[in-house]
Amino acid sequence: MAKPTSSTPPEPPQWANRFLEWYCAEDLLDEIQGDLLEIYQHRAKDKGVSNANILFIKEVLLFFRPSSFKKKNPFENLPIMLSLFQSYFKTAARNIWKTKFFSSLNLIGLTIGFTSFLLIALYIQYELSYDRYHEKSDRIYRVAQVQKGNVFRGSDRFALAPSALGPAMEANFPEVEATTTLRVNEFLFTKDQETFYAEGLFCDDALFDVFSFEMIEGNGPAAIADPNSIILTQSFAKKHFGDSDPIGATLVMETDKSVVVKGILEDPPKNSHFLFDYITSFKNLSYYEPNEWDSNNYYAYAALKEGQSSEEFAAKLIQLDRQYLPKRDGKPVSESKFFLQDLEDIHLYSQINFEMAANGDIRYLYFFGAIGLIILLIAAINYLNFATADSERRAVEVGMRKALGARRRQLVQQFLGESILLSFISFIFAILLVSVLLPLLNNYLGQQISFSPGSDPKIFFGLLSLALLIGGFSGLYPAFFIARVAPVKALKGQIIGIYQKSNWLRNTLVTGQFVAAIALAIGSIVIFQQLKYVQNKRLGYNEDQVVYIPYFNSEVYKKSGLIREQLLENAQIEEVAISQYVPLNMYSSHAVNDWEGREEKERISIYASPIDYNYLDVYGMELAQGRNFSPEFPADSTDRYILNETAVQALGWEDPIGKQFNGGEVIGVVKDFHFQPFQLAIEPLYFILGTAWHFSRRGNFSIKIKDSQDLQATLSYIQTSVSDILPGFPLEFQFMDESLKQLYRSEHRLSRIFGIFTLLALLISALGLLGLVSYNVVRRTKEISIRKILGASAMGIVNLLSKDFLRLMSIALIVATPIAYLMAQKWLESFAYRITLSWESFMLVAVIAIVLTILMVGLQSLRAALTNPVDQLRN
Amino acid sequence: MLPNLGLLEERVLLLVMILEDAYGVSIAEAYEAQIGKSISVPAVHTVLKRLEKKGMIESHMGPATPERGGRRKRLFDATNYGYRVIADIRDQRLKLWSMIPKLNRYG
Repeated sequence: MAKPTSSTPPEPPQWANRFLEWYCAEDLLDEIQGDLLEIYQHRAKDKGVSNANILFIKEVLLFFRPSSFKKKNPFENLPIMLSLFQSYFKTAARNIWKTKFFSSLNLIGLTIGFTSFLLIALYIQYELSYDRYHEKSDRIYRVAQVQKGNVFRGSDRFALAPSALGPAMEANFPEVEATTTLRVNEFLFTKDQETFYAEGLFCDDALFDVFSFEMIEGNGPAAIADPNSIILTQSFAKKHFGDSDPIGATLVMETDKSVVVKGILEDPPKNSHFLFDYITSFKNLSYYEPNEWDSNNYYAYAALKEGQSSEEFAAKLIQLDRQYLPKRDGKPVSESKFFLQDLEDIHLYSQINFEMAANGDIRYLYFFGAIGLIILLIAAINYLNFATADSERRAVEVGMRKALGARRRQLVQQFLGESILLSFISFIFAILLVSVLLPLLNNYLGQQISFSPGSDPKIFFGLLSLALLIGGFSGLYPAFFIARVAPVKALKGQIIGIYQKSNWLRNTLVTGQFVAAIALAIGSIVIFQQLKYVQNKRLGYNEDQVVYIPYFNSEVYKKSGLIREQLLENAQIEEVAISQYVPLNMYSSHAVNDWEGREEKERISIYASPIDYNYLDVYGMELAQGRNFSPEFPADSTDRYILNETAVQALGWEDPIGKQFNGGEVIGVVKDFHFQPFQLAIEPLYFILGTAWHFSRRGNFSIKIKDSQDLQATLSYIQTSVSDILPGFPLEFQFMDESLKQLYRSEHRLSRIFGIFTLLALLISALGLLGLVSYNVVRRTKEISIRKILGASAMGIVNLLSKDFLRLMSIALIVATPIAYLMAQKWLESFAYRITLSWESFMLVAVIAIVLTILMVGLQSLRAALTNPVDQLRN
Repeated sequence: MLPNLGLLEERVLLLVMILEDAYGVSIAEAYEAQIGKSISVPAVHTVLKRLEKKGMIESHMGPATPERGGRRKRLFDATNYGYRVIADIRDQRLKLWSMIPKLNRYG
């Protein structure tokens, strides 16, 4: 029987075959399925297809046993994966080492970026953490007040409260859990033979009910209830008592009041809006009166009960005067409206009058945060650019690997590994750098920022993941281009097409970097100029060669005549004056409603400064009209005034001499001088002759020193004179010009920090540019060589290459300048006295940028231009 | 003291030694041809695995053919140890069989 031979071989039942393929382990499929298929063919030939089919099915079923199954063991691949990672790691490390130059540029840039970002993040975190130390910090509020119509230094809000406020709140509002009233004051202390000034907290009994200060020894509440006790902070105790136990020791305050140390307090953390060295009862302040509404000398804090809404309570608080304040002559005893300030917000958001210490500003935080992000962004963009350029350079290598059978996944993993490894190394370096720089930063800022992976896991792991993310992304992004590399084309060198888009993107990114860096540079210059202006602006008085000595003790005033005489004995000392304030910071102003030519209901807010006969001399203040106070005119010491020019203007007078003012007469007009920070315009001010009433409690000696070489000798003369007359009086000179610098310390710091970060941004961008230029040159090596051969000069080549980059730089300049201009303008507006933005600074930056570009391109391309073209073309 | 082998194991081992290309299919087909009984491929595989585990045979992967759908085959060879075992079995048999008086009559 001749069976027609089928053209195609018979096939076993597919369902059985597929079933086999499903359950059978990969490595067994060869022998099992192979054998079954082969014997199927034989059987089909010998005994027929149906026989073969049956047997096939039978044997597939028979093979269905555990030994054939796919192993589900996940760990069976682990040893392989491990050695694979090892190989990737080695390859990555080797590659990084091979391209040392570019890798280190990359590394530096990224490390700088991470470090800056980390430092800024830590700083911001620290600033945000002010006053959180206290257990009830989220429901503690400072009670401040608004005095409508009384604008002082640009604000009608005052951080102060009268001593009666706390008790009134506790009595009338059930929402209030506790209140405490306090004040920070500087007092003279004597311990055994030592005398020193120290600043401390004076408070009522309830301090510990509101704040969570920790006592190390002794009973806190008891110690403050007893006016004969004092609590010292740990470091203060250490400083003055060493290692011996201060409990029970006696200190003398202000030469007449003895207090016994009854407790030691744990140091309050530096991130608090007020700091102090000791705590004692209010009763130790001679002017303290409980339950008084008239003088706003204190700071009141209230802790609300849990769950109370501060908004609702605040609304009630405003009504305080109407319902609860005692009345005097039918009107409430205080015209202020009281409002609440969140404890946690005081440091950053409160800029009202009479803060206990200079607060920070939330705007600075936003600002620095933005800078940190910008720098990080610049660094990350750099990294990305490098990675892309790198993969382009290695297109040939990639093509070869592909030709040799590398799977796309492997290639991607390889590049990814390198990218992440480098990023991780940057991260490690950044952490090390931060731990070195942080103590320096703390010193500079006077703060206490700490950092360790254990204590700040959020930031640590946040940055780590950021590093890995940047590394990962920079590794993956070029992978798109790797994928499209056609091996044959790449080996021939025809890779241009794929990388067109990447080129465009890269150029845009670099331009973006420069926009940011240029804007920062311009900003930096503007800040610097403004600061210089402020510092050098003629203040209207002579601030160098003036030394002033503040005092807080009536003993000093009693001997003031003697002191002055003694000091004037020294030929180097020109003049000595006593006054209540120095022209640095006057804050006593009040309303005057009595002057010649006043309209109905007019009031003027004017600063008052009690001085003596010599004050104007010491400070070199010039009189525009009239005369100084003089002993020849006895009326001078009772009701004569010298006004400043602004006051005269405000009063609308043409001819002020002899006019009636505030119950007295004007005898002179002094030329305007700055007695407040430059943010504020000069306000009206008057001088009067001060008396014992003004000067006895506190005041200042102002000493004018001849411009001489031997300042030290003069100072020690002053020192010995004073200590002869007043033994035990701790002398603290202040130099007028130094103190002024202190005043602008925060602006100064801002300028410095801003400058540093600008330099960093510029550095990173410059690194980016350098890298880009280098790559560009390397890529066009052949082109350059050919041009050389065809007769191009070195200069011509440099020109050619610079053109592109100059174009990018110009675009960056054009974009950056208006942005920088607007932002600088905005910042300057916050100063009453400011510079005008000059085109010179912008020009300066532009010129520097262009010169920098040309230099970089020039250097790199010059190198290429000078090499022997033959060598280049050989490859 | 060399181990004992089951009958199937012995026969498969012998076939591995006899065949030049010993693998699942060839052994199954030779078994059927020589002994007259059919044997399934899985059974052969099982025995082969056992023998390999006992160290009497070793295997390597051979070429693929289209007949096998492109699958390779696993080829088996006897090890020296395997030969010793088989030789020992033969000797044992011969020894006992030669002691049967009546067997000589059947040739």
